[in-house]
Amino acid sequence: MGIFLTLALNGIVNGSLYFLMAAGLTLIFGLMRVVNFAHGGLYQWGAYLATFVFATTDNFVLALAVGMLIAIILGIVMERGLISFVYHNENGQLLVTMGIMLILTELIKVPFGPSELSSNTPTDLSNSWLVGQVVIVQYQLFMIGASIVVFILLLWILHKTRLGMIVRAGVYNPELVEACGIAIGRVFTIVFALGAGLAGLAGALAGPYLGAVTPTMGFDMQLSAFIIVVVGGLGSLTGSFIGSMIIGILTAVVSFYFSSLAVLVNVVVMVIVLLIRPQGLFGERESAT
Amino acid sequence: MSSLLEVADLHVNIGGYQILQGVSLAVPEHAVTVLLGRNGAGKTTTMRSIMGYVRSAAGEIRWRGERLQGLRPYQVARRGIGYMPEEGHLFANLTVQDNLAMVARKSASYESRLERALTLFPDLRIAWSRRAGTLSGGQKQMLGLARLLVAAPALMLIDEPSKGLSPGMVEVLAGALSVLREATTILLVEQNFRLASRVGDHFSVIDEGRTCLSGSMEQLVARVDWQQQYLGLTATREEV
Amino acid sequence: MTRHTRQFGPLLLILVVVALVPVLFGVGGITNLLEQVFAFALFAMSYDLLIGYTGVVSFGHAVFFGTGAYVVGIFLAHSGGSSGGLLVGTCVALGMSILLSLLIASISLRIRTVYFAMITLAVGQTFYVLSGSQMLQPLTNADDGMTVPLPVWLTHDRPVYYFSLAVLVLCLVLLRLFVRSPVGLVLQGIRENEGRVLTLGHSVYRFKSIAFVISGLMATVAGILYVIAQTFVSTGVYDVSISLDVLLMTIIGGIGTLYGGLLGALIIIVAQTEFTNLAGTYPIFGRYTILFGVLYIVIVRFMPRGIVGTILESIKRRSGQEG
Repeated sequence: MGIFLTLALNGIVNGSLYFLMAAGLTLIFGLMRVVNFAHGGLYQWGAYLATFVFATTDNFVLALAVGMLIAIILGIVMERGLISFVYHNENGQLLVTMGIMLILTELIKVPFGPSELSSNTPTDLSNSWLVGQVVIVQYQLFMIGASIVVFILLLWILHKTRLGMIVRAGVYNPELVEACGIAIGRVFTIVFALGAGLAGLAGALAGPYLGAVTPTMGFDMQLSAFIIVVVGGLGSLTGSFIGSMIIGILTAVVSFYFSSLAVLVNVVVMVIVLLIRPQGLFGERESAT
Repeated sequence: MSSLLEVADLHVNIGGYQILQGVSLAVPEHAVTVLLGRNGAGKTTTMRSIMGYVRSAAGEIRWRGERLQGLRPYQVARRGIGYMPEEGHLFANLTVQDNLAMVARKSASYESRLERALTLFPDLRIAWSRRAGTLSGGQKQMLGLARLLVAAPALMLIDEPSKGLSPGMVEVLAGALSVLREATTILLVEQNFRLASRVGDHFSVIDEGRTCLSGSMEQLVARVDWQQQYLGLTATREEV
Repeated sequence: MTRHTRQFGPLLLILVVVALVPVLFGVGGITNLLEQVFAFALFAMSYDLLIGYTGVVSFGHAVFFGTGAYVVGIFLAHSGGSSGGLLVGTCVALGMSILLSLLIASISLRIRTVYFAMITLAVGQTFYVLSGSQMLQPLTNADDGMTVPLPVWLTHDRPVYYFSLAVLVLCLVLLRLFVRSPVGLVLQGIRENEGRVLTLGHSVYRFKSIAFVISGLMATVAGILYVIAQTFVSTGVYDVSISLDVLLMTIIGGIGTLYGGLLGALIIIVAQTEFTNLAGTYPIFGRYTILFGVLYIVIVRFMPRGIVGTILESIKRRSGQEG
């Protein structure tokens, strides 16, 4: 029982991290029909910069802020400078974002080197408690809390603000949004920056959780995030949340028993979902437009 | 007769096809101009070119003397041109309330325009918090028109509002259009000639991407031969 | 007749030059490099069949390449490098390739192309993990990879070189026949206009699947060529970077040109080798992947037809002006 609860807790923590990634991917896809294959690169930059800032200043809030900020800046540059040229060209988007992914993953090695960089947990968040047979680490709770706050915040933005209304409208009918006198290009940039910021935040949070940042962490995380959005349904925020928890817990359980097979199990889950419900658990069927 | 919008010798190519090859229009202020022509003649493309969704290859579109080409659709909209496309003229996943709120930020004048729209289309008040996608065909058209009313543009481009409506609903639509025309200028695409002749002041016929005939609606109503020749009205009955 | 000479003349000339390389320059560094180029050229052409003739992007084409390399590697290793092992291994690899491509096609080709890209990436990663897992250690030697013994008739550089070249030419001919076949023409129609082909009564899904299966088969053969040239196989053949390299080779050469892959493979393999050498002296050259990433973007933005596609287009335009 103790093991089960521990694994469940670990799974939820994994899921929290996944959610921050998947939420950005799904928001960007929902509005712009772009799957950002450079999303893991933003996560990676957030992770490295936050680790670096925390190591030099010992200020964790600053580290999180810098991690998010770098990802937002990179996101805006990407969207304005490169991706906006390939809207309506699906394969072009795939190639361009993957090209950016290669650049981001490789460029990080120039200042920080190709080997891993250890990442410390702030002392204020390093407490742990033994509850029953389960060890609860304060930092894990912090991560879960952060992702729940983000989830609620995103739901609030989407359903209670004018920006959210425009985004929801744009998902269905971007042309009509423009006919209402709204510069949809600017909304695209805002949403892209928001998604990028979440990836940066996920990276910044991941460093201390994983204990180290590595050059392959972006690709690995991106892979899980893709599986999650496919399972949950591309474009659905709730789907991303549920999908993140499913894959998070599954990864924790499977890696405990068969260390390297987690990816395999995740892919199998994805395949099963696709066979039963091609649009994902919460995705809506593609319409003609 | 001062023209709010002038289109001169407009050419548009889409995917290697010449869709428009010389459309010219003058839309006089405070009147309803009806674009007529067979399916695929280029009426919708003309509207989409005015809005800036489609790039034109040659010719000019002038709004109060200013060249519109090169502007993004939202910039065109902000200059005072409202657009109700034939398909996708509402946000199906948004409520009626939000559909109307899309066109303007909340303000006193917004409230009064909203009130006027809801007085004209009381159905919408009842369906206030329903998703637009769940409305009936007629209610959807009302919502589209109501959004234009709330936006209160100087010119409304309305693309085939009567399509798929029952005769009863067409009556309601005709009434609504005559209320709209009191307040603004309208460029209307309409296949239903009876409706067009009731609400229209002027007309232009587009055929195979070219304007082939323009004039006042009274003239067209009087000339049955024109109706046959350009609109195929009595000659090919199945098209009507 | 003249048209054919103009079309195949340059290709034949290249073939003669390439065939003379061992005679002129001897065997060793350059032939080893070219053997790699042959394998990747075939791999890139197989990829072009996918992206260029069906319009879908895969980020996991290494699944087929790696399976070819691994299966043949395993059979050769466990048969002590016999010709029978090579033959049986090849058949098994091709059979697995067909099953695998049908499976992937059935779950991903019916839906959006972005799904296809994500799914192929995930499936590719699964094979990467599996090939390195301790569970399959007796078969694959896990993370350490394994040395592959070759049949006696392939133990010298020159036979390997000509064998690889012969297989490449054979596959090139087969691919060309396929592309010009009625099925190939329908596929090009799908790329241009999916809706119209649909209304012509063709099942787009079935045609895409056929292309995917053939593309997978060719990629598998490429993997076999690779393991024969390297006499070693490790998890690296399944690495996502292999899939991304071959994608880059294809777009550099020119999507939908088939021959573009030959040029793309040559450029990328040579560049990789040169950069790796340079990195010995100047470590910054070890980061050459940055340049590859930039190339992705530059090609999509400024040269979407790639080198061969751009050249072909300018030739066509010029001859169009003359005529």
